[in-house]
Amino acid sequence: MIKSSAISFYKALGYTPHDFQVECWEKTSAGTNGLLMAPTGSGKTYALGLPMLLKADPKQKRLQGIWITPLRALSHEIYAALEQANQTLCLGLDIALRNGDTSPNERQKQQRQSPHILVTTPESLHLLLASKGYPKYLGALTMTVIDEWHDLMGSKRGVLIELALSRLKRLNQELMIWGISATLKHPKQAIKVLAGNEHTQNEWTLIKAQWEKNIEIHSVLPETMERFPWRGHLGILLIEQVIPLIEAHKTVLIFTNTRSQCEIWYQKILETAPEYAGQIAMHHSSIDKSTRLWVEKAIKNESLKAVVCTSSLDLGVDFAPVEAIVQIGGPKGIARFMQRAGRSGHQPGAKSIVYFIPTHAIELVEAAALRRAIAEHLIENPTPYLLCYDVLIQYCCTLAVSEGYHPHQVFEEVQSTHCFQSMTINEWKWIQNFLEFGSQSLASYDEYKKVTRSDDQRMVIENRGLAMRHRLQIGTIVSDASLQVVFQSGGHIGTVEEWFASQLKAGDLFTFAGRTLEFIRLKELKVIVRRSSSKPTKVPSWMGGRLSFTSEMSWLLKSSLQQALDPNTIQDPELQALRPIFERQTKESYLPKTDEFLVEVFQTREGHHHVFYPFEGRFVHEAMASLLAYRISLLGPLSCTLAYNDYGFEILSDQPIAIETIWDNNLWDTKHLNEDLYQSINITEMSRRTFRDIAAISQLVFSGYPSKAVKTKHLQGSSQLLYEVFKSHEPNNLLYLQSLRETLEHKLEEGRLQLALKSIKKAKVLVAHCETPTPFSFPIITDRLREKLSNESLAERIRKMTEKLERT
Amino acid sequence: MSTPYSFAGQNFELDSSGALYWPNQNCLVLSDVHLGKIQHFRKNGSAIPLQAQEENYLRLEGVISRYAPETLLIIGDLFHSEWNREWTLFEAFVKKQQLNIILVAGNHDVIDHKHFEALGIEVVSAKKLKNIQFSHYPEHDTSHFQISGHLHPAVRVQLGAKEKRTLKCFYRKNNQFVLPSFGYFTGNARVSKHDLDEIYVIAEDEVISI
Repeated sequence: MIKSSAISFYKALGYTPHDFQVECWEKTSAGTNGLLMAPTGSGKTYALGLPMLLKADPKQKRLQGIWITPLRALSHEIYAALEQANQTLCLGLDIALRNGDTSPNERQKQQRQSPHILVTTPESLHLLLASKGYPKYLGALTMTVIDEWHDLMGSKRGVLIELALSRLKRLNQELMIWGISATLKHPKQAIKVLAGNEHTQNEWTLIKAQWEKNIEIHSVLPETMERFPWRGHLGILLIEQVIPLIEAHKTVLIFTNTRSQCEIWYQKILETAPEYAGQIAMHHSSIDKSTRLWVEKAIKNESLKAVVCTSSLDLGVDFAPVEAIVQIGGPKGIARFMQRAGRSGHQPGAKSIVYFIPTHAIELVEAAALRRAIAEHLIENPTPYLLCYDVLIQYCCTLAVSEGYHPHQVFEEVQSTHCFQSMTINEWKWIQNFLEFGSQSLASYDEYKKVTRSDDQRMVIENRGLAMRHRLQIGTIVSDASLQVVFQSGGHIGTVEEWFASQLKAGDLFTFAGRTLEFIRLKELKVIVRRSSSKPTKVPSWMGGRLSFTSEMSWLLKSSLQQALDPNTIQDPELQALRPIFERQTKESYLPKTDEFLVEVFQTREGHHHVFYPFEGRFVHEAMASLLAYRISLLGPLSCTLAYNDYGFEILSDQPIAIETIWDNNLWDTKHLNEDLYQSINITEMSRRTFRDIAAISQLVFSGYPSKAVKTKHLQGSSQLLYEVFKSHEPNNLLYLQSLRETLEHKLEEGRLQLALKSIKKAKVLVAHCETPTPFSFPIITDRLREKLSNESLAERIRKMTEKLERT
Repeated sequence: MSTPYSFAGQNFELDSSGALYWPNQNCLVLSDVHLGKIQHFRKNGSAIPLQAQEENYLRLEGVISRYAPETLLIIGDLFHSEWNREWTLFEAFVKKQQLNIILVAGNHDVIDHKHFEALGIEVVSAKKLKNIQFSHYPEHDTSHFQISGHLHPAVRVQLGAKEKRTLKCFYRKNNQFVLPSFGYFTGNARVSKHDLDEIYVIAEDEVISI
């Protein structure tokens, strides 16, 4: 039934359906669950949207299908597509949209008279679970689709989906679940996370769209490689060559890796080509929402020539006029690159064109690596989160504010998810005790109050204030402490982080959202500014902007270097252009093969440089450098500083380190890895940051009512303080332990570190004693931001730092 | 543990607990203890470990035994919010002490003053000792010497290339001296170094000038 109606719909539109769409229609008719791997723009919405519409019964006035998307912008698009099909096929269905922008009025209307189909976000779905009567409201559901699953599954929003599905499955035994994702390397894992352990994998279908998205990568090569810098991160040098690219296309998106880089590029383009004023715009997540929406609209109606942006435009909306993408610097991951490439060439049959702008010479290898990734269809799987007690606590409260829950029943459901499959009954009991008694045994003077037990043993939140605060805080996206930037005359421009604002003095000029602004004063969490026509001196930077190589990217990079070993087989123009650099590298040192591990040693007046090249990305190198330095220091006194980039890391010391001793003493060993990491890296500092999110998600801290300044009855607390309190007074608190675990697993990428250490142990070691810095080592050793290994007291370190400042 | 400091022609000790000792008056001054904050959070559904509330009393007892002052002058925000059951702990603490306690009421001190007075604590809106005015808020008028709290000042200190820490501090600006918050479970507000005349940070158990 579905199949024939769907085909007739396509006939009406004048298209022939793709094979994968037909396959989806067949499988959904049979009622199977599944995962569809298809790129944006391939017709994936109708592949699963038509079954959702056609399965719904218009006569039954109940909610029958839910479509979940990660982005509001995307949900508008899905809604429009579904509505179009609804009209064309005269299905007479009521389709509604519910997300953070939906007015309370509209929501109440949806609650009273339920639509047939709802397009929503993970957070809004949880809000539904937090409202009274949800079992009835959601009880007639037949199909749910989770869009962009590859993006969601690598974040805690994915955990929100897993938990919501566990409840929906209980309410509707026959519920059909489908995920949609980009092409992944391990689709089975993506299915496992979505399905949980209730369904065996056999019951899930995998459908892969045979859809060749044609992507072309053209690197912008410097005119002479000899004069192109060996290090750098902005790429501004090539701006003269970027302008003609903008000129040649209708609309171009220029992707930068950080928000500050975005600001700088925007300024520089206008300086180089002032005639573009009014025709180019900027888009990043700190810019005011209305401005962002305006930019998105302007792209669609072709009134912009170029938009300088960050990952804020990675996902979602189809921008038909975009003909080409400019990527500045390495995107560090294949999935991110493919997303960005997919923003261009949306017209049927069009190619996606990407221009790659290197910021330094060696980065050109990344372009060659990405080309291989496209040819071989490699996209890394995101690492799903496990045992997120913070999200679980939030979910329990969600159920407690609406209908209440029986702990034993919900335990079963929760344990059926991928995230919580290894949770023990004791951990579950701990969480229930945490919610009911604040993790204390009953003390007479304790006034803890949150979840209570009703007469029929349901866990409930009856206090209206608590319930309201909970509903306001549903979700897992924690924003930084940020301050709004507003004009003195009124009008929002966007947000900057608190620490940047705190450095500003009255009269300081900075560039933001493409304008030069003069700081006037701080007032009630607002940065008051006025426009200025002078040249700016500062560019705000935002924390957490740094990206690191993914493991697939790292592997591809190594094998691309392999190609460069034999100059006669080089095909990529980038590797061809890099030939003089490779020759220089080979002359001074080596180009390592994939089974070799290169170490370069040389001396300058700064001291003895020891540079190691695992090519595993900055995060892994950071951990590895500290670990190795720590282990070397156990053999004998060592005073050193550390530096790293995506290719390798350096230990700079006043004494030479005998490289053999590292192997002789088995210092790459994976045994005692955790203990040694705790000793060598400031894990406390890192997990304090992780804990910030955990505290907000589990609602230990209240972030305040939106649009109401501070008035929160003395309830604002900093998560930093809480971290210290738990560390010294409740070190077995599961949320505190979670922050340590997440730091190791997600920030330090412990799993990858283990694998990398093992492969270093196996590799053939090449030690090069060099005369001068090599093209490989130069960007690392010139890094002025160095980490110092130190065991002095805090006061001692402050004194030294102060002395140093006084001298300079 | 403490660092000598002179202000307004008087000699003081800056204690690493965040308290200020004035030997000449045998008076210990501290600010922003925020007692009852943990209980207040718990009452509103945040499960902060209850044992942590002992910490403030340990700190108070520690600093009192170090200086054995005659007077304890608390310049505001002794309690965080409305009356709650932590009061019983505070009551027990006060009864053990052999000293005069004076509270300069701060914006958080919303508990009825009668409760304090019943424990023999004098509650005032400001206190003048010798040539120095003690108040909760730093005043706009800086023509006279003044010591206050309220701000929970802290500064960001660069420790290495990539390591920065925010540390509680005492600071002076003209005739005004501001104490850090004494309480265990209290947040900080970062102040900018530029416009301050002197800054003393608390680095674990030391107080150092930067």
